Amino acid sequence: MEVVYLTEAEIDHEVMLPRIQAGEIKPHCARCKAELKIHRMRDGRIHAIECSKNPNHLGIRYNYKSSSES
Amino acid sequence: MTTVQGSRRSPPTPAACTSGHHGQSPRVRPAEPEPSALGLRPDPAEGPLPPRDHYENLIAQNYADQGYVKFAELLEAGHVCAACHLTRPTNGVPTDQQLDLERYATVASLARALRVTTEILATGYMSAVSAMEVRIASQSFRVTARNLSDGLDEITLRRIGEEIARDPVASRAYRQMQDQGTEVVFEFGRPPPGLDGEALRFENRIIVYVQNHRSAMEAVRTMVHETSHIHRMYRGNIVNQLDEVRAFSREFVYERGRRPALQEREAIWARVRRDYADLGE
Repeated sequence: MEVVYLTEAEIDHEVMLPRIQAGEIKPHCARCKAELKIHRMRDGRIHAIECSKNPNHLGIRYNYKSSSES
Repeated sequence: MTTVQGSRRSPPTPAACTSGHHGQSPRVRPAEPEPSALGLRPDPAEGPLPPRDHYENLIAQNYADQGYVKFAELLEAGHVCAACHLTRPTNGVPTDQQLDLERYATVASLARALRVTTEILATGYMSAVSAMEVRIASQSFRVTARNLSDGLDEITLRRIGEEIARDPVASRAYRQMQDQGTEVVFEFGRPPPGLDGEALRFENRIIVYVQNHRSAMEAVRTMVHETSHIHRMYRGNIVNQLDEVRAFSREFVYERGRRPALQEREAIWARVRRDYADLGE
């Protein structure tokens, strides 16, 4: 699996997030090179990504609430 | 010939003038030296500086007629302030012998260069300061609306603003964002499918995807949810189920105008445990 070093700004919805979602790449923190922790919901969608070494380096939360309700 | 009475220095007599300017009979004169960049003519290699053929400045013409050719040169070249200042050390209009135009040109050029350098530095400094002020101001009040495409988006944005201003929970959540410098982005462009909003810890930004909401109130609800995440992130909290419970509880308070009761809190916990099972409590 390809190792990719990413910042928060580089994790976009068009390219990177779908690739992470599909498990095509292994994302790592661009600042400390540590592996990024991927948190998935019950249905498999990613709801959080954070740096495993220091969450201040990278920490994204996704909120899918309304779509799951509707 | 024009003379000025009451001058403190005796003007040269017409007989002593060899320039031909004061004489009646026209005389062939050498070509006038070209003025320098400062507008001053350099001293000729031999003899005194002759008066100009024509003076635009009448006062310069007057002084030239009196024999103060170099002083008139300053006035004609527009160095009026300097000319006036030069009368102080000599306690009167300096004579041609007292005034060294070459030396004056050197000093004036240096002074001008210094002035230009100072102005450039001052401009650079002021630009840097203003850029910092803009940055500080943008960090203290950071709301961004992206990709507004039509009038309907503007109306929706205004409704969102009104809703934030009206509701005490939304207002407080928004003020928290202002206090910690978080940028609140309302994205009106094409949203990622199913995504209401996101919170970016390092970027210190929350994004609300407005097109995935049915009303301004729903968009504000998502903003309130994300403000809870980013505020806890800002305080160093780790990602866990409690984080989500807090965010949903804050949403509940915004929607209902009251805190969730015990059963409602249990329902929120049950939902979080079900959907976010991979997180620790």
